Amino acid sequence: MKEPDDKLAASLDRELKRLPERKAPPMLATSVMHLVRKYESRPWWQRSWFEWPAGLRWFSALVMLAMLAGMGSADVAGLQTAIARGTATLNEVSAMLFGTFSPVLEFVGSLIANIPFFVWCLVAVGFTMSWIASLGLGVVCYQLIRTRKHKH
Amino acid sequence: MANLEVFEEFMVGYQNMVYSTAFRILGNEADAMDVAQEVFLRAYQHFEKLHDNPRAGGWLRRVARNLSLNQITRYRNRWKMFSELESDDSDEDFVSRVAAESDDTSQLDESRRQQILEEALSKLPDKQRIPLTLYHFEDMSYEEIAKQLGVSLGKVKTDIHRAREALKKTIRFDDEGDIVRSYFDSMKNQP
Repeated sequence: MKEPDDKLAASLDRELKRLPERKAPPMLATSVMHLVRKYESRPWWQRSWFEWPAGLRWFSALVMLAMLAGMGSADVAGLQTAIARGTATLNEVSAMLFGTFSPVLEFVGSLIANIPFFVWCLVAVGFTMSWIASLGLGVVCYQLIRTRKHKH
Repeated sequence: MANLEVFEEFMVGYQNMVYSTAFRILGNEADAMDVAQEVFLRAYQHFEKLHDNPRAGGWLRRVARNLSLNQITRYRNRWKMFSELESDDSDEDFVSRVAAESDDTSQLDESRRQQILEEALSKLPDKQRIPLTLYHFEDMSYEEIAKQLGVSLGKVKTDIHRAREALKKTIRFDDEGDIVRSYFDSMKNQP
């Protein structure tokens, strides 16, 4: 909390605090209730786990248990050695961590590893170009809005 | 569905306060609407705790303030490089504009004066309106405002001082810094 530091500040403080609240636009209540109804009818995957359908909760719990079991069989000693050597690859780490799921993880890892270098370069160039284009568009919009504001 | 009706009643009771808080910080209707909607959606998510809670108003006001400040910070970061190109000359333009618009406020009634003050407040540049609003409406100290906005203490004091000087021109103060209320009151009492 603070005290206004001079007479003008104190007077203004009183005057501003006496201002009535602004009237909310009538559409506020309508749009809030629309949002609330939309929130209430959101699909199960956007809700917390406790609100999921019972069958899905059981299934997800079983999957989680299976994953934990997979991690339980992790080759921790081998993983530590590989990290210490600095030679652990994505495939090795995933295989050691998730022994049970290693075939799947190895497949995904090999897919990523097999993407040619020039494809990565193309993605990087595309990303940079779109970023520059967005920035340019932003500048134009900003200047247009500013010009319009000044005219008014 | 009964819960929705109770919530709607709850929302209607607080909507002006939430909207005013957001509008005075953000300075425009569209952003204030967005923030107010977000505040009430969060209120709905915590409605079990807020319903019948005497501190609900304080909670709503705090959330409205924080979301408005978040919006400003996000906006400022996004447009910083553009807005920094603007000079401070606009402050002087604003002061003279407000003064010209409200030269005869001493002859206006209370509600009209409040309307003029509200309009003048909303016309202040962001960098003046936001700290002024946080100081006078949200009861934050200079230090808290500086910390919240990520600017220096000196800048906060300067901006608030300039904002007060601008507003001073919209309402009449006497030499002691008090508002000349008796004159307005006497004007109101006239048939």
